[in-house]
Amino acid sequence: MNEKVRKQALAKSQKALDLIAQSSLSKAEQDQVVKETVANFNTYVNPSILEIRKSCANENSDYQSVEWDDSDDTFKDVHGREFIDCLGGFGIFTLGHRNPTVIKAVTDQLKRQALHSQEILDPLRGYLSELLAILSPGDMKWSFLVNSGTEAVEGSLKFAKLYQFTKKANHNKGVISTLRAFHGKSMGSLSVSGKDNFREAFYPHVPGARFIPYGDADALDKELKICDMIGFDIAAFIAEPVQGEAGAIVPPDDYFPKVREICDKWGVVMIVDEVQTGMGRTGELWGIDNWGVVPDIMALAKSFGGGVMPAGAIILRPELYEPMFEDPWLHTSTFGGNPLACAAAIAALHATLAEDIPGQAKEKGKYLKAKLEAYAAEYPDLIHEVRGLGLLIGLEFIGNDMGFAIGMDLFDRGVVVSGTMNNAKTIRFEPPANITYAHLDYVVASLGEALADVRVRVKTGELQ
Amino acid sequence: MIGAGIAAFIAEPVQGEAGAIVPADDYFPKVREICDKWGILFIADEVQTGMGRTGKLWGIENWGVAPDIMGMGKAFGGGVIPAGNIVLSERVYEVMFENPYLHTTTFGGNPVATAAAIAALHVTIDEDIPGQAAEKGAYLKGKVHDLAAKYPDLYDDVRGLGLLIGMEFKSAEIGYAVTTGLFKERVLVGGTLNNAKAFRLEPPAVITYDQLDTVVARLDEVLGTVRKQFA
Ligand SMILES: Cc1ncc(COP(=O)(O)O)c(C=O)c1O
Ligand SMILES: Cc1ncc(COP(=O)(O)O)c(C=O)c1O
Repeated sequence: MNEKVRKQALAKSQKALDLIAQSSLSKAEQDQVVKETVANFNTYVNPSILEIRKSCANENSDYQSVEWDDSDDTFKDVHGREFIDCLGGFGIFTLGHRNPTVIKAVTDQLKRQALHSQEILDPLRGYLSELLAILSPGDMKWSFLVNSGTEAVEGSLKFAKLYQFTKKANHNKGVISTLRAFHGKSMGSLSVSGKDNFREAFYPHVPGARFIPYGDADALDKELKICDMIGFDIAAFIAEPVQGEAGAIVPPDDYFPKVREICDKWGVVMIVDEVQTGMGRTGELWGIDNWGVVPDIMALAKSFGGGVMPAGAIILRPELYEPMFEDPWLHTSTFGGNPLACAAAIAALHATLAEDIPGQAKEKGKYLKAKLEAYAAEYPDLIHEVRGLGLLIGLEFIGNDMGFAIGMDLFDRGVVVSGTMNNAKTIRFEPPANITYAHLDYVVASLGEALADVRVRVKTGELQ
Repeated sequence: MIGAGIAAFIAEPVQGEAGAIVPADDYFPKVREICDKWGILFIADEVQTGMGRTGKLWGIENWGVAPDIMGMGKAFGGGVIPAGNIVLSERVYEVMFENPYLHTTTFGGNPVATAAAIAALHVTIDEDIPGQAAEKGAYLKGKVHDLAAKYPDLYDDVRGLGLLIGMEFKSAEIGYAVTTGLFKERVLVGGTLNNAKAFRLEPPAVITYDQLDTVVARLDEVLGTVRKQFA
């Protein structure tokens, strides 16, 4: 490395390290951080993110919000402006920001050991796996720990294929998924994600994926029948208990019980993607608990790390994991189940139970949804539908610009909500389950004002 | 010839899980030329070789070649936080300017991981981790070469670059006996996922020479025992 590069890199990294070590920033430093962050995004991250995040900028200035610190149900930008977090990191922050139980576990663990040797038995992996066996539905028992949602889905698909392989080798081993599903964006999980714009550029996908409408159990039975008739072997069916990125789509009550029956009938592995719905988000510990169904494989991530560490898990029923006993290295992950992630997940599960996060999500979800439904009645010209379960709530608008306009308006009032990836007309409310009622009321009031504003802008033809 | 459009060629600068396979010196320069000739992208998987491991900051720098895309993981998080990164030339990443959500990750680039990675890069440069890996790697590989010469009945090959050193034994059983013997002597070495006969020495670059000497002495002892066992 030449001396110039070395010096430059050392100086730049030292500056960033000093910033990380700082507990507060002077006004000049605040401005500097914003300026440099914008410049760095422009040059090294992705300039168009700045364009899109215009919704996170004051309309009349170049002011960009750069996040800095967070706690409970809010976060602040570099300038100290506070936001109520109704986006919840798309499902990461069910336990709130920097939940004290999780922070304590992670910092305690950090003092002793961060990552594992990769070779010797690691205790926290065992404790966490035991806890998951206790808490997961029915006879689900084995855990394979990972780092992200997409990794949890990749592994789930592989374990389903492996299980089917041991029963009957040499088959096409397709997977049936649902339209508008979101399971992640690495090649395997993308292959079973059901939205054209994310798929188009990346063919060929992992072969064998087939799609049916979500919420329609008969469609699954029909598709399996067709596959059987043409000799196309299906390994698994995968679905989200509530479709998140599609805009909080809740299936009919008999959907998952029927899916379970159909999967049993055809010998197909039932995978539920609990990446967004797990850990209390929908009012039960696991989304699928809403219908008392026991899946074969469950994929977890997001809030599983307590909003502090990246962590994910795959939980399997006894039979499903048996093929991995023969060769445990058939599927592996370097960082999966590392001590910090395990500490975070154990603490997250503990706090989720101790603070009754599912109960809070259920109650506050009902409260918020009722308020949104009242707005839907008041603004039928703007709102198409309110739906969701627990604190995973979608608000679908009639026109294309409306959701975005509402999001921007709310942002100016200090409330952050989320767009959804697979449904542009919908915004989602996905706050931490420990959000205060005072903040919920503020959110509701702000939404009321934003709706009134947008109604005027639609009437003048400015928005559609 | 068959009209299958190829997008990219991907390779590890040094194959890690195959047992520390170092390519010929003209390999990657030629690969770069060939990729350019056919208009395909060259992806270097630096997950294991990056961050100084092979004696250069990036493994591919051993041959002065610039890939189009570089994948990082493992030591990128400084051994503290899971972190990875994909570095791309502007030409390649431009396609993401139109829709930055075409590829996304929830936890990728989180504040704790980025803090760890910034610190990891800082320390790597400040403590000259690549230099340490180059020097200690040459030292250790020399010693293990000597042992291979002393135990030709056990060793097939010793190879590697920097502190990514592979020992290939005559059989998987011998390798297993050596590594379990070492473990009893409280020295941990790594197997490889893709080659049952190959084992890896891949210590932290900050390992002391004293410790390296201890490792070599214990390895010598264990090899003596294993020789008797397999005689
Ligand atoms: C249901 C579901 N599955 C998988 C994923 C992918 O998770 P990650 O971004 O951690 O890979 C997401 C993320 O939004 C999700 O909502
Ligand atoms: C060169 C290389 N690439 C990729 C990986 C996969 O990394 P991970 O286990 O973090 O998914 C590894 C892991 O051993 C590796 O050595």
